[in-house]
Amino acid sequence: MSVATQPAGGGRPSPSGLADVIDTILDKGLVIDAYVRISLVGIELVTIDARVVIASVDTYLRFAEAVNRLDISDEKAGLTDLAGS
Amino acid sequence: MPVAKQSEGAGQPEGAGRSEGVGQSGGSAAAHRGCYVYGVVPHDVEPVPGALGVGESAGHVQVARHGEIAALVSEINVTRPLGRPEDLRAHQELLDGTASTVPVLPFRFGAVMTNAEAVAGELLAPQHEEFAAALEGLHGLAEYMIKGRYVGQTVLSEILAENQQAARLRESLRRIGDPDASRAQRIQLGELINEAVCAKRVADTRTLGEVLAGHVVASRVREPTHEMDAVHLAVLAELTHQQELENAVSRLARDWHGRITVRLLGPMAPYDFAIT
Repeated sequence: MSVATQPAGGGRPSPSGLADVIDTILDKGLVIDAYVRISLVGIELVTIDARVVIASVDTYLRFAEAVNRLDISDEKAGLTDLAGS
Repeated sequence: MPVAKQSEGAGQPEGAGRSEGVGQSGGSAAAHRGCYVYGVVPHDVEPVPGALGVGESAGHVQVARHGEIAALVSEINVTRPLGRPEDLRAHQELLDGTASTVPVLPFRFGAVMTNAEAVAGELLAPQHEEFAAALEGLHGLAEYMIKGRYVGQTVLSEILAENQQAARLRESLRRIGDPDASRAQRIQLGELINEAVCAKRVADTRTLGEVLAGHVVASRVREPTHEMDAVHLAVLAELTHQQELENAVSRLARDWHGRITVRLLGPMAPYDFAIT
């Protein structure tokens, strides 16, 4: 398996998915408020959904369903094997 | 596209507060204009001509200098909300493009000051020593990100094989059949699976850290952004050692084939390692 470095050397940032951009830069980097007070300009930031994983009942139900699906697919695979043999 | 590069044989640092035509206009129009700040770089960095910044009708990327350091900036209309996908990309691409060539201290998305004079006089001048020292410490280094996602079928099968309680609960749920009657048990099963995934994440992140230890200067574990995230690790590494880093990650990706899908992103600005 190869691992794609994005960008692969040469200093050419390839356009990566927006999810990666959000994951990478949101809430990261130096905070300008820590250095500047007088000339700071407030600008409205579009609300960006920072994807934070908080395990909830929904998460648990999704996992349970995934395990259940796993059963079904395993069984089907088993039946197919039997039928084919 | 390298968006900012170090000028060849750069001359002396310019005087304090010198800037290049950003936000100098007077009158009412200036009230709507601000100076977006991307990050701090060495004074001899020149933006690539024509590079555009963030915001609608984006201004060109320019440089505000003070002594040995400079800030990458662009003019912006502060009456318009900021945060379209292209704004986020412009912010990251400028910083990452710069980081592949010269050290850069990235600012958090959305940093705006009144004008370039203020950037030089109020941001760069008072923090000159700290910023210069931080840049010196980042010389030749860039951030890379290793992201891994579990292959659901593989890791769930692993968990069922390893966790008898989960396996028994699954069996009993299959016998009940009625989804409404079994809700509490399904939640219990899901909670067990979630705990197991979290434990695997910790173990696999430790393995990744050990594999990369000889190839990186520093590393920082990032929070997962997806419930099936296996690893999410930011590392600071020598740009000249990128190939070794790629090789090490590739070897691990081979070991994890079919279990974890691994990606290596970078070089990027040191979002996780910039401190003053």
